[in-house]
Amino acid sequence: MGAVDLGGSKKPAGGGMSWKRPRVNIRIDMTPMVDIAFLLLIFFMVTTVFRLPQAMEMNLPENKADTPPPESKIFEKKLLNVWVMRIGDRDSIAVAVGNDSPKPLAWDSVRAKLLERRAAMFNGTREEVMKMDALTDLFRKSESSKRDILKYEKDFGAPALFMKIDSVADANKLPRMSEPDKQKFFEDMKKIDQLVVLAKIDRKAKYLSLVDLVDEFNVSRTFRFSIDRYTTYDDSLMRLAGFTTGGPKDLPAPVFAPSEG
Amino acid sequence: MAAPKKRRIPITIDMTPMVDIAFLLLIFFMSTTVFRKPEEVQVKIPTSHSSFKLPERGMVVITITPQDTIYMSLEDAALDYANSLSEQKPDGSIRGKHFTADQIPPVINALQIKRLVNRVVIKCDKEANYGTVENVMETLQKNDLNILNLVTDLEEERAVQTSAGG
Repeated sequence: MGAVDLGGSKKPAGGGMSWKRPRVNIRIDMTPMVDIAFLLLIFFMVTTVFRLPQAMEMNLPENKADTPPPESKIFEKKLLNVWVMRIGDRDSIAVAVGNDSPKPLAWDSVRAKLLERRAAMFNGTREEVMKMDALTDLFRKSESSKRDILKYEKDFGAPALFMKIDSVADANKLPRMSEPDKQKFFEDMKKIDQLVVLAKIDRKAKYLSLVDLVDEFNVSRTFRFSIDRYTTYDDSLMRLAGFTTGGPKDLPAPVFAPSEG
Repeated sequence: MAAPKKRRIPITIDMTPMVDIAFLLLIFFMSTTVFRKPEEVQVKIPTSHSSFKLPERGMVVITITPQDTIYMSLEDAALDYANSLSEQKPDGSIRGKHFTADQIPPVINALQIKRLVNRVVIKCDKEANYGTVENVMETLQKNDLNILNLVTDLEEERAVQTSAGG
């Protein structure tokens, strides 16, 4: 394995005096060292974590007395673009359109319902919504635009947006849209964006419900949602509809009083 | 050495290249390994479709157990102890401190001033009560900590299922 050759070729110091020096081959047995090296290697290979934990991002709105809440267009009369999703203490979910009473909803159909609702905002189909979402994604990921379609229009105006849509389509080898199609697409985009969902979750529900619901929002691309306090009013509505066991809430009261508005 | 007529040739395999490679790998793994802190409390985290990866440093993790106990931790045990996120128990062991929701923001603010933290991460058991999480989120929100990360596992089968189902 490893051998160290200590040369005996060195000439002895001094003049006439010379003695024979035996050539010694020192062999160092490397086996134990290599054993240890492999042991350590295996240890580090096993303990190395290559996967970093994953996370879901959540942006909470500012909650301060002096900042007014962001404006959102709500159809006053019918409240058709506002959905209230409530999760009761048994993690059952119910949905209400505007001020209507809550109706039961299966967890599996939340996503489909949200997509359908977004399609209904512009009298379209779910397939159209998904097509629009795909294009929106391409638009956002495109090197040159790097922002949402609506934001782009706001910043640069409609003609620039339509040109950009063409260039994104070209870059992704998609057929270009005709001028009226682009106009319609843009109008539809604005309408899709109008769905607002308010999520109200009972304090006795499980945390899993929150993650599941937010995940459904993200997957169905319902980006205008907010999480609101589940009040006694919500509880009474849910109890009327038979979704919750009600009864006293044994959890401690929240640290900060809700800002009633 | 007197050579016999029939000389036996010992078969020697040169191990040097293998050992070289072994050491190379050893050095690589030693330098890249970041030891994960042993987890004090086991939490079952929920799954989601989000594939956003958390950074290794600069985050404070708020752990919530199914019993609604709140712990906080930084990336290593020494930092935790130095910032009194953990404490020494009478038996000498160092354990995480319990926090209440309203104690969290001042601690985070102090860590931010020391430039130890730029991201708040909530690692909550899926069976924990939403009420506890709500308390935590609300206190953070009141203190201008509006961007949170919820630790989740990547959920793959359901993503496939739904894309097939349309």
